[in-house]
Amino acid sequence: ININISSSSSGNCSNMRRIIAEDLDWSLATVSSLSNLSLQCIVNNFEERPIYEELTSSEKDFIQNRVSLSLPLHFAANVFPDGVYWKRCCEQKWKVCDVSNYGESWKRMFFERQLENIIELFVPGITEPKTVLDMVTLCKDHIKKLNIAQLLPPVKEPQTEDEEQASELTLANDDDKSGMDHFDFRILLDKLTNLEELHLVYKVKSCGMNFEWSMFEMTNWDCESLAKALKSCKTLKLFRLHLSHLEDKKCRLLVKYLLDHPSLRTLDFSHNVIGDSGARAIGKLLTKSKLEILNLYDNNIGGPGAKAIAHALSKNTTLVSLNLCLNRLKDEGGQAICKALLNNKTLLHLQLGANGVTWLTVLSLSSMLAQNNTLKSINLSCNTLGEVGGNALEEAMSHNTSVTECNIHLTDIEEQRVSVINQMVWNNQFRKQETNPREKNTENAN
Amino acid sequence: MEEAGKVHEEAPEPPVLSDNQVDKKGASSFKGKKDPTEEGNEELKSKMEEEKTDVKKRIMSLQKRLTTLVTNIQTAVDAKEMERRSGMEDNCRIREERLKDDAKACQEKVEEIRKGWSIVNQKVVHSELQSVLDSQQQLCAAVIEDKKKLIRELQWERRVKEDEYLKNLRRLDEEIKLMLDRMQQQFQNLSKAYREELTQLQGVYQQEIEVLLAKDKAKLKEHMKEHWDTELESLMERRRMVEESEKTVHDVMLENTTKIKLMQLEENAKSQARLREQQQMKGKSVILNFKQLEHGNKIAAYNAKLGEMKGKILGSSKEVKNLKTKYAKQKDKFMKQRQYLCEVQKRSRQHYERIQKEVRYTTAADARKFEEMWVMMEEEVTQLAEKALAIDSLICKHLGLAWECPSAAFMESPGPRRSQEHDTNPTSHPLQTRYLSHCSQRMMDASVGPSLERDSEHGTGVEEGELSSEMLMKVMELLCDETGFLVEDKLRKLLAPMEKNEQTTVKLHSLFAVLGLEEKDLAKLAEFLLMYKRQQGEQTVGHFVEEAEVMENSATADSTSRLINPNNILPALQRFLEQHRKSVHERSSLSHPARDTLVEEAYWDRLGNIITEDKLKLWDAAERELKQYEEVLMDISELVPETELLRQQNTKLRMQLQQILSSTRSSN
Repeated sequence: ININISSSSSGNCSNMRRIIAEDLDWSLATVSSLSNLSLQCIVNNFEERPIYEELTSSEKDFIQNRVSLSLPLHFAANVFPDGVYWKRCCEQKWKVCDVSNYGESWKRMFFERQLENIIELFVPGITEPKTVLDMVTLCKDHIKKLNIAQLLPPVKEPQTEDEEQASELTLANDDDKSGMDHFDFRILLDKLTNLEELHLVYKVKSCGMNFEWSMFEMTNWDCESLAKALKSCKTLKLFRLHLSHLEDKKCRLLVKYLLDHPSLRTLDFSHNVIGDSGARAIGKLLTKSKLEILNLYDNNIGGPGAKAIAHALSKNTTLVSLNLCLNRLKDEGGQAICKALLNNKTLLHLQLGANGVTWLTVLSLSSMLAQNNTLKSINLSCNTLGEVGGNALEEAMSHNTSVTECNIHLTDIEEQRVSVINQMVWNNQFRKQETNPREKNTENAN
Repeated sequence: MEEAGKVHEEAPEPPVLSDNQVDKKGASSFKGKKDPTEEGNEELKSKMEEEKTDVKKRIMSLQKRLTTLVTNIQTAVDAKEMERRSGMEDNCRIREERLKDDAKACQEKVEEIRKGWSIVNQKVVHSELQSVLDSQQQLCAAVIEDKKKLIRELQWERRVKEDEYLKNLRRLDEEIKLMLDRMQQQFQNLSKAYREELTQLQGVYQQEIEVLLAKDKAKLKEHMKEHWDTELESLMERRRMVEESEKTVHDVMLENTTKIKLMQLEENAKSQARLREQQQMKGKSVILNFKQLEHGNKIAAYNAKLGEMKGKILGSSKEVKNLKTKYAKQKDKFMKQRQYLCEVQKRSRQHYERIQKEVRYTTAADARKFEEMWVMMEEEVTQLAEKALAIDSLICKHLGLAWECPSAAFMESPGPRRSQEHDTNPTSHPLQTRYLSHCSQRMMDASVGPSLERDSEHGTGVEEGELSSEMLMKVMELLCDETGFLVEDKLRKLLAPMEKNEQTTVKLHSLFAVLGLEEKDLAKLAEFLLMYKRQQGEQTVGHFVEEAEVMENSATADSTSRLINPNNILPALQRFLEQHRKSVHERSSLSHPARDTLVEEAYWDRLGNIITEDKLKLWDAAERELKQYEEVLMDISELVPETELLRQQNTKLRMQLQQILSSTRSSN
């Protein structure tokens, strides 16, 4: 090929030389250089004869910019490192491409989104698992995060009314194995050796008039397979399962398999229906694992569950952030957690918003704040604290220097008091960011 | 979406929430959304007033405001959810109570019915039974009615709830739109703030850049000024130079113009003269024209003749063509003949060469035969000489004379021919023998000068190498100078610009060509000239042989210093040429080595004279004497038989006497 190029280009040259004599307007700029011609030739024949590794970086850029995007993926995946080629691939496939979410790696972005697409469109029983596995073999080294926004249920066979009723009668609710099981993660997770984050939602997007409640929850079999899959994935750091109607039973099952997970740091079960027994299981998880962030936002945890978590919290030394917003802790749970924090020196963020706690909890909280100097942010919004709670909080905040964020909106505390508390928090924040003497003076004056 | 999801969950619940609650919820949500922003704004304003100068702080506060806004929204949503939950719980509770009441009422009625049934069992009378049954039926109907009523109520509630849900959805949609708008505003605010900061930073940097620019410009100006100064200086110099050169150019131009004008004047004069001449010529030409007209008439007549002539010429040209073809044919023929002859000539030449070879071979054979003959004769002669000498010695001995041997050297030396043949060292021996011959030869032409042979001999000998090229060159130069008259004038002109060495070589070449000499004779000639000079100087001295030897030794040593007298060169050259020609002639005539007749003569003479005249006379006398002696001896020899006979007779007689005596005695 190279010989052909050189001969053709030399032919060009001789032609050009002749043209110079005749054409005054001719300029050398219109002739591409021999190296460019040969690179173009490489680009044109890239699939048959990939010459890439031995080129210089600028030449590589040239090739990445010109090579056609219709190259087979298994071929391109091995040849091109992260770069312009993958950027072109992404921009061709998706309109919005924010590479900062993918560690500034276009290749990672391409593969992750590609795999997510495949899984989201996976219909159990119809789609071959091989399509997923083929993709996995190509991209297992590049995938760090999987954000799966839907999981399709298998296609239901058209059943007659009688049969449906009969099956309901006989099989009841427990044995719905063959009915609504979703994608089996066991075939996937143990192969992704670099996976760190997994976001899962058991739901169907834009289902329209075909809505059924079963589309928005996971089955028992799903739960078991997912739990086993999670156990097999040793690199996972973040697991998020939200909006999936996770009940106590399934939560216990998941937690059971996650108890000894070596790398899990963040657990997010927000927007589920976890009750007290599930919370108890999570409390056990807190004592055993090294979780740093726990998010149980919008669940159904009551006082007993909160007590279990509080008990775990008093012994735990790793947890940094705890989110219990929108649960049913009441004063029972709130006081338990505040008391537990007397012994905890690691928790930085505590969120107890919308839990129906009252001034009773604030009293124990303010006594805790007087001693604890690690807590940075508190959220007590949407609780009816009242005047007494406001007073107690103001008192506590005047002695505390560590809290830099305090959310007390909608707590029936007087506006004036709220602004005072906010001012104190604000000053704390400034002091933390800039240890400037002038700032201190202004603070004192305030 | 999350909200939507929650609302979905809400849907199947029995519709218990009242309008009032929902309204409250919506109001609270709006309030929750509006309040924090206002607060944030206030906060921001106060902050801005406090720390307007500090951009960083401002940005931070802005960020905080924005985050608080987000958290506020979230808390608002949380509150809403809380209320929704509590409402739901209330509804559930109310519903449960209602259901309980209903169940209780039902229970009572059912009890009543049961009691009724016991009465039914007791009653036997048909009419009574009928009435009791009717009452039972009424009770049952009442229960069913109650249930139906409850169901209807619940259904109605559900319908209301559905409507509410729809309304709620719409409201949510509106809220989301509002939030989007607000977010847009937030974005704008933030970007505006950033833009302001950017402009401020830009301003600062602009100032810096301007300062730097000003500095750089000043520097540049300085540099430029220096540069311009130097440039100006150089320019001034150049201008001065240009002016000078202009002046000179002007002068030159002036001179030239005056010259040109002078020349023009001359030219004008000349041209006027020429014009005059031309006019004269014109006059002449007019006359000539008249004459030509006359001629024209004649020419017409000639033209007619010319036509005839042309016809003739055409004919003759045809003839010429024919001749040409003939000529070509002839040429071919001759070419063929020539080729044939060439072949013949080649053949004859080959024949000639073969004959020559034969001749050479035969001459060689003859020579060999001759040599052999010669050698044989020499041997015979020497044998004869030896015999003669032996005889001589015998004679001498006989005569009682002391025989003296002729010179031993002579006796020992073999004949010249044999010596040549028996020679084992062909280079050294001939030199010796020849040397002898040379001696004699030189004696003969001593007055003539050094012989060419000898020269050639020395030329081939050791001395040639020693004759330095320098010397040779010098001699040659001399020769060239002296014999310049032989070189052509043209050649001499051509040679004038060349170097001396080259001149001499070229001249020598031409000279040699004139004299008929060859390149290899050069050394010889030089030698000869040197020798000749010395010969001239020492001609009076007698012993040429010795002189020659001495000269051989001293030739190389002395000749370099002494050059030949230029006056002697011409006669020397003449002599050399004579000898050269002779030698060339000899060389061509004798293919084998030259025969030394003189040596042989001497040799033969000596052999002839080996028995001297005195000896011969002696020999004659001795012969005579011996002859006489022979005669005497012959007489004696003739007398010997007689004596012998006599003796025999004597013996016989004696014998007879004895016998007689004996007989007598016996007889006695």
